[in-house]
Amino acid sequence: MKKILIVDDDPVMRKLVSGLLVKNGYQVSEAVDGKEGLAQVINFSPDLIVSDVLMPEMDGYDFCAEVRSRPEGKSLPIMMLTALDSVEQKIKGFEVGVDDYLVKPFEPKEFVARVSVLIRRSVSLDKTEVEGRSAQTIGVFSLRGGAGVSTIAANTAIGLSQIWNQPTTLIDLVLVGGQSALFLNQPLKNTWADICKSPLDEIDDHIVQGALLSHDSGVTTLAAPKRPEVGDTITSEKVSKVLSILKDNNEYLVIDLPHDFSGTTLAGLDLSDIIFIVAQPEIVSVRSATIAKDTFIELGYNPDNIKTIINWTFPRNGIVNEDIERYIKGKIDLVIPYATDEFVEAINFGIPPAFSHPEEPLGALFEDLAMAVSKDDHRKDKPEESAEGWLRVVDRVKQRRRTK
Amino acid sequence: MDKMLIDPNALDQYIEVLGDEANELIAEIIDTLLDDAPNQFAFLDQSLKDNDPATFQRAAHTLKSNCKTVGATEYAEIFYLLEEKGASGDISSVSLLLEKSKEDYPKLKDELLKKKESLK
Repeated sequence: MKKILIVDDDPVMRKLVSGLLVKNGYQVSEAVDGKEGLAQVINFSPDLIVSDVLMPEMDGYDFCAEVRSRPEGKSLPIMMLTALDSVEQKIKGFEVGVDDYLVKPFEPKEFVARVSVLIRRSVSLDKTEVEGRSAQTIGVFSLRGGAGVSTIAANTAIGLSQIWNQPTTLIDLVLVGGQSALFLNQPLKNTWADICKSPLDEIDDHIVQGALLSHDSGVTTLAAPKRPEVGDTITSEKVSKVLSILKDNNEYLVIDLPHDFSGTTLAGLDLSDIIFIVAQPEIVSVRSATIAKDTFIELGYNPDNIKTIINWTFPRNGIVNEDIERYIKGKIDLVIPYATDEFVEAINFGIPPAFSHPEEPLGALFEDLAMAVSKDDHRKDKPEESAEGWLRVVDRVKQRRRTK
Repeated sequence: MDKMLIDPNALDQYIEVLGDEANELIAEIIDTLLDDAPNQFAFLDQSLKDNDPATFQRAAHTLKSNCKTVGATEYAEIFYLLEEKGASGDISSVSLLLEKSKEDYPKLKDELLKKKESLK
């Protein structure tokens, strides 16, 4: 049973939060201020802390900073729960190491979902925590097939690799029938099946690295099993462990996700820093994208990290952007124009446009997309050795500025 | 204000998450609020007497948050104004507002007790 420490001087809030958590299967301990909370971090060893801000003795900010300064609290997830809702106050919370922030009064459903995500995510990362590298992870998802998820995943991974020359892995989580390797013309020498034949506790870095396929762009691929019945036997625990190992050994991961919310899909979504929802400009696809987005928010994923991509897989008579945005109650982050001939050719020859034609509009679009989802600390400075992809993106930015 | 307006959805949304077990929790939340509110009013009075804006702000903040939790959004506004006064560091002009908040409290208590009764 996972343990949660509630730190709040308000008995009503303690009652409400503990009631919700206990009834959802968590073990709960309570502290009335930061000082008592610190003692409980040692005595109770929580898996998550839910803390208020305004408290006597030691407030929530000082408490979180103190927890973070201690070895046992370094990677302990902390959710701040408070009626203070200004941006400055939220930033102050994030600066002292808070992982999530929820404003009171909160929706109980959202609170429970966010708690669940924070714990699942921390469990995934704890399994193989290694100092240093932690990959920026992009999950590509659509509730309906045919929207171009695999194409977008493969081209984004190539874009990232070409811009940064850093370890980048494309992961095919469509364990039953996934075709990511085909998009990169990679023979299926190794797949998920080669990793998952080992018991969970024996899966390590060596086994995972041995199953990756190399591509000339620098991307490595973890391919779906050749046989669908093998994919069906892979558990979410194994997926979480493999993803954690890859997260620690790459700068970027791009996950090609299946069209469902199964346990293995959730393992990929939980680890994603950014999620692309892909839809075609037709009503059923847009409706599915809206359902997916609502579900992600219910699952507790940060709405700011969910990006909507509209892929024109047919030439005309699609829904206009304004109507789509009204329907999905948010903005479209990227529109991929109709280019089926180029995509079909790319798939048939296994040469994605981001790799074969990065200077042309379609290839350039994917490189620019890759730059937009790159790590902040990569983007803020010029790399020591500028890769060709990075130079191309920067040139395009300069050109766009000149033509404005 | 003869009758306090309470948004029924504020507490009923717990039923969506907890089903039949929600009533027990809602009743406990109401009991805890009614037990604690006199303490918070006492903090407000004492901190006003001691000219202690930080404690005043904290007590007003707690009452605001709890009123919102049970759906008394309009009543919570008084505590928001009191909290702001506390945050400004000057609580010299809060007496009227504080009196108003105490005057209206029995109406909140009445509504919450009715709500609790309806859960049985």
